[in-house]
Amino acid sequence: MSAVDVPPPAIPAATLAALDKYKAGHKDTKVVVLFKSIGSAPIMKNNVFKISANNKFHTVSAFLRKQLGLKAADPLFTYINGAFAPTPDDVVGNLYDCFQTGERLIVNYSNTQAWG
Amino acid sequence: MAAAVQSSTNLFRRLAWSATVPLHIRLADAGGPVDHYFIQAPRYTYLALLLPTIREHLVELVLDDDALARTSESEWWFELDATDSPFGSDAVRWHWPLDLVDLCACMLRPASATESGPEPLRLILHLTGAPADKLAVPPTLEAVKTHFVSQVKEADFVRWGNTRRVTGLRRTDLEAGWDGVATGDYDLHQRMAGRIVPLPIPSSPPTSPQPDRDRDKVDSAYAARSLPIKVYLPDGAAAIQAPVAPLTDGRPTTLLQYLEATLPLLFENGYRAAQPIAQGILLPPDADVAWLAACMASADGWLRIGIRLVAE
Repeated sequence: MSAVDVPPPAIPAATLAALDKYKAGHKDTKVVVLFKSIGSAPIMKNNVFKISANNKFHTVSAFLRKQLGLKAADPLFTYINGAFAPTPDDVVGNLYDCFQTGERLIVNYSNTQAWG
Repeated sequence: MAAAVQSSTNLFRRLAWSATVPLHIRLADAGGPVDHYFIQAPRYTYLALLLPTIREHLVELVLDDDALARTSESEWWFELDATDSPFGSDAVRWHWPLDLVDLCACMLRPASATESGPEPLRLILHLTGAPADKLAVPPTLEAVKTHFVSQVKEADFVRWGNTRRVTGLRRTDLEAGWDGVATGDYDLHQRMAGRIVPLPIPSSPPTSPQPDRDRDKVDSAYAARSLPIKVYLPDGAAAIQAPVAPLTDGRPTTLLQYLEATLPLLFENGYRAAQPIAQGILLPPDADVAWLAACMASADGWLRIGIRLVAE
């Protein structure tokens, strides 16, 4: 608490406008996600989907659970390119930009831990 | 060459490892005389690792025995104190390293000519109502460690297009990465990080793909296909993560070049509208991004840069 009340310094309007533009992120973009099962995880009939790039990865996990008819308590492990587990709050568009193969983001799924 | 770079890199990695954050933790909804707690903690650590200390020195002093028996750490959560900020506060994620928590707090307040120097990181500890879907990772050491190892692998994939350097580690060396963070042991952590985070060796031939039989050769950060960098913006914007080439037209990519390309509207006039912060300091515009990624990365190998807006 300061002795004299000074209003907080103002951010220039142009800077805030720039921030708003970057906050929109991958708005209106969709990416193709290819789901691949590992081990004894059920195989999907249709395993290619277009997903909004601004979604967080946990949306993809929730979508996948629904597609596979899993209950909340059923284990589901997801990986990118069969190599590492993404964070639930990773942005799908970022994952696509960094790790796409042949214009698709490959998401492997398993009901047991595969690549820890 | 490699030996000289190794020793200077070690110096800067050790400096980044020694950096700390002064924390000021306030208990939400408590009016007693001892509802504040101050602690100095390393930037590489995680709040989940500090919970036993915070419990002992703050929560146990404030709550009576009944309330203490009822409280569960799975319900606890930290909130950034956004007093005096033009932006709203946010829940602190358990999988964020403390450095990132501090970065988010730093971005809450725009840089201005009248600022009074560094302030402690102010957090509010709530003992109930954790927003589970927002937090994504629960406050258990097991969950935070699993996330840490995943981030180590993801960073490796960003650098080389595979995770062979991590999966090729001996189990004890991989475990040493997290154990070094948990016990505050730099050398232990380096048993992992020193084997997978490449050195910034400038003379390394650019972009020639390295066949697998050359695995004994020391990797250079300048030869990586991309650098593991996450850029954060204030006001709840999602992190920016995209391929970052260590070289541009055969020369090292500078930080300003990278920022101009990634956030042109904020960096077209140098640092006049916004400033990049990492490990608590303002980064110089002419620094090589490959050097920054090699020397100033978090314990999981990611360089985290926060964009602080500049006030009028």
